[in-house]
Amino acid sequence: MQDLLHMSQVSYNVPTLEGPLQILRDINFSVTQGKSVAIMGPSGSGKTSLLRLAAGQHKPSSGRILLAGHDLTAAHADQCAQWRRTLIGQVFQQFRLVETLNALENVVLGLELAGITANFDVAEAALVEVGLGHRLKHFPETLSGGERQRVGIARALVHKPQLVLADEPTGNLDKDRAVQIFDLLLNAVSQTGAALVLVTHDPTLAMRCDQMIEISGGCLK
Amino acid sequence: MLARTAKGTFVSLMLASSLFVLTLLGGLGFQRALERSGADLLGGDVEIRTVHRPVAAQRYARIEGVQEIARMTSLRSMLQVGDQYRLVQITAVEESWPLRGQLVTEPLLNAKKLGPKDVLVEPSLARRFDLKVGQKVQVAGQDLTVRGIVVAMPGGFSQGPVLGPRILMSRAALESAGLLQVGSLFHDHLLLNVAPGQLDAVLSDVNSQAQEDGARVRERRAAAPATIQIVSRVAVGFALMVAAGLIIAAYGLRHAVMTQRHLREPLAHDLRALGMAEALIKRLMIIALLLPGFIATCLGVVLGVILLLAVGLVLPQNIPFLPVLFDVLLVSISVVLYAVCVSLLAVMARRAWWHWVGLPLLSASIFAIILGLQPALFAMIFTLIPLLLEFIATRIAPIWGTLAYHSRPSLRAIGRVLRQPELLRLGFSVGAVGALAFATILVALSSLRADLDQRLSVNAPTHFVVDLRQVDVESFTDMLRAHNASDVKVASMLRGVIRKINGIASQDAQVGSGSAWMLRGDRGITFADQPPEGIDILEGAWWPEGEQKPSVSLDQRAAQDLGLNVGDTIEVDILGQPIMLTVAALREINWAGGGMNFSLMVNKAVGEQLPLGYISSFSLSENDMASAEADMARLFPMVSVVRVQDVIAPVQSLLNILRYVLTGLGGLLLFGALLVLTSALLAQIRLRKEEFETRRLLGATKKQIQSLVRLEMGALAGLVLGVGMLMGLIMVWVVFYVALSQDIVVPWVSLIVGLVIPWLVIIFLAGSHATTKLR
Repeated sequence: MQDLLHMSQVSYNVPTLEGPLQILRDINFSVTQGKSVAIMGPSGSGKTSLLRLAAGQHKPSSGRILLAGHDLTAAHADQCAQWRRTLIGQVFQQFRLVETLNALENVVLGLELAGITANFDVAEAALVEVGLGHRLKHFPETLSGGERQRVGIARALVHKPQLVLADEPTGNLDKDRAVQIFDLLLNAVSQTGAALVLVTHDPTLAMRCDQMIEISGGCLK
Repeated sequence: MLARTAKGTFVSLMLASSLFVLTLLGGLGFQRALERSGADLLGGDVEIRTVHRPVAAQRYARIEGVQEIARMTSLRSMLQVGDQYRLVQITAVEESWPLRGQLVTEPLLNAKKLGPKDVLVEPSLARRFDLKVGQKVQVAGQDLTVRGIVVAMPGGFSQGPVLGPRILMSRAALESAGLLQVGSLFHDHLLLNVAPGQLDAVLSDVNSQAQEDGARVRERRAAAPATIQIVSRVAVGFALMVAAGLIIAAYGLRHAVMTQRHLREPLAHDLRALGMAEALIKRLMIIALLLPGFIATCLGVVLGVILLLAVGLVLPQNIPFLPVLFDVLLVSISVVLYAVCVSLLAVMARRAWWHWVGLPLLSASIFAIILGLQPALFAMIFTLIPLLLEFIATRIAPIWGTLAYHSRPSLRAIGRVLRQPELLRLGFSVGAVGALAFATILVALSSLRADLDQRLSVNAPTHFVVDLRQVDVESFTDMLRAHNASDVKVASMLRGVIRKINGIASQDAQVGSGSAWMLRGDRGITFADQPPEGIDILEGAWWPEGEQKPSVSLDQRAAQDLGLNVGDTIEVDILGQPIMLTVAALREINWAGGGMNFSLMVNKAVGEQLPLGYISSFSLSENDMASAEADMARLFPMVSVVRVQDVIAPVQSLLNILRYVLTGLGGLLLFGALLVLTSALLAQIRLRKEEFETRRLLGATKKQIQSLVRLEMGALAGLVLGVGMLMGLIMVWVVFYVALSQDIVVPWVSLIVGLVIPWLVIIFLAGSHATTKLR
């Protein structure tokens, strides 16, 4: 099966006052359609940077990243953004909902950015799917952490992306709520046939993915 | 981000403070100079004037409180240079003159050392005859030597239009020439300097003495009624402009501080979580928020004062400008205090009630201290309008929510922005206030400039002729036609004194200071059964042709000051003959227009029965002027001819200065206001940084984010600019039309362009600002 995401010999440095700081080194990593991959590792090991590189938010210092056949390393930032909004769905630890938009509009935003004519019915269905049919017009500040993350998941999946990047989606939730949200995410991903790259500290959640890789000191083990 | 936000606010606040201090002190310095120039204009604190005979100086010198006296005599005479003649106004002075003000000559001369054979001439006269220092001229058969050119002269302006350019010479020389015989036509002015605080007491004694002597009295506070009227209008307009400018600065500052508070709230939350006492957190926050603002305001004030002093140093001598140390201190302290209080309110007061009460009170207080009660009222209204707009904004915000689900993405984006009460509130209170201030300043400026332009009288006649006999009228007008004169007007002229107003003796009548001059001495009166061309009857109706009932038409403003309405009566004494006149019509007179104006016009049936002379005004081209003047001097030796430009030049010069000062101040205010406004709006954009980052993470291009922000700002602008402009127009209309009885001039093109262009710039900047530092 063709790789949806392919990283080869990827290194990533950030400039500091003391000189360049290496975050990732010689990463070789692939994700195929419909598979889920869990990335684990201690804090500061480079997990989030890896996801950002995969999303085309950052450029690697060296190496090559291909997303659905598109070369992210050579593309302009706005071109990357365009692929990001159509091919990728993202779930964040801090939810990253737009505070001035209600739950429904936050989900519609995912569609709007993907260039899909705003379809409130589709967005509403996505929210019903995550159990928030009764909270459509609620603004983020009135939602609980779990509810916010559900909105985040609905937004990430509403435009049917090929790849879902989830950066510690349960990191801000209690254990029961974390399991619940993870079930929801996994279920939703399997329904849409998207691939999932999950960053987590929780081994029990990681073990439920098709593949589990560990990262330490910027290198994959 | 906090540092960058604070830096932007710091710089804009500093610049705005300096511009407002500069504007306020500049305006005040100009106003103070005009107000205090009363004594300079008059040449002393009090003037006693007689005609045909000298003032009995010793009687006035004995009055308690009189410190110094000086005598000045003026009369018309012919100046001869070679074989050319020119009617001039002689001002002859004693050694003690001037008591107040300063005689400025070129080359510099001491007026007290004016010799019996010396003469100083006005620039127009020097130009006319190409006079040089040391050249000989003749006045009343006496040879005099030109010693210099008069650049500025105390008392020169207060005498009003005089017949011909002035020459200044020693009074002793005039006396020895025999021109000051009792009965000959000359005006004797006795000028008094009064001890501080004694003016009213001295005036009371002077008035009773003057009544016995048949002399007229004038004091420094009413030295130049026309100037006072202009200055008072300009002062109101200026106060309105400054109030508008400062209030927008206050709102800009308030929002900047509130934004800073918002940005620091997570920090406060963290400190609270770490166990820091609430009082200490509050103190830290106040210091963190207020200290930079305080420093910025102080630096701005100092910069403004330095700029003011620099401007003062380079201003030409003829521009009245008097920076007063007290004003500098007062304005500096007040502006800093105001900024601190507004910031404190923005930090401390979480309940709207405090803002509703605190802000108007603060604004009114600062204006009451610096500019007076009327500006304080403007400031209070200006402060309440944004609060009212904020209130309305929070109420109408939900209405826009319906657009958030529209099928068109642009309308959805607009709906999502305008439904936010906080954002709409900011937009209204900053954007609409900006538009309100801009409209107010621009319309006030245009209206004042239009008023000044009207007074600058581009269409004034070139010449005035007085003492024209009835038998000469026809041949005189024929002669003018032969010299291609245009706009020839001839009117009868009587002179009379207003004795009673609605049956009350003039001296006992309560009259407004602006028109008190109407009751002093005799006034020009003409008669006609047709109203003058090109004037508006503001109240009442002109009398019908052949009206027999004695009727009078007055200047509306004068009538208002005298407490007269249509149907009221005045008693006028014309050469000893009392006539009771009923007020039939009130009209507007442009006194500074240089045209033919009469404060009193009566119906033909009254005028024809009285002894009268004629006056005429007309315009001559440059080419015809010399030959026409020569013919007038040769064929009509009894008439006095005045070149109008000589008369109105000082007034025009002052009005021109006023125009430039007003335009400059208005421009500075708008620039300062725009700085603060832009800063406040951009600070609001910075608050949404996280939202833009999220959009970017979700795949929005920079262009999409910029377009979204520009669309939002455009929609907000469309809404708030219209409201702000409308409120600004209403504000100026109320002040100018209702309070000052002056038409407003709305420069629509400038107004719309002036509002739209800065907004386009702000919209563009906001878009770019939203994506700065986005990856």
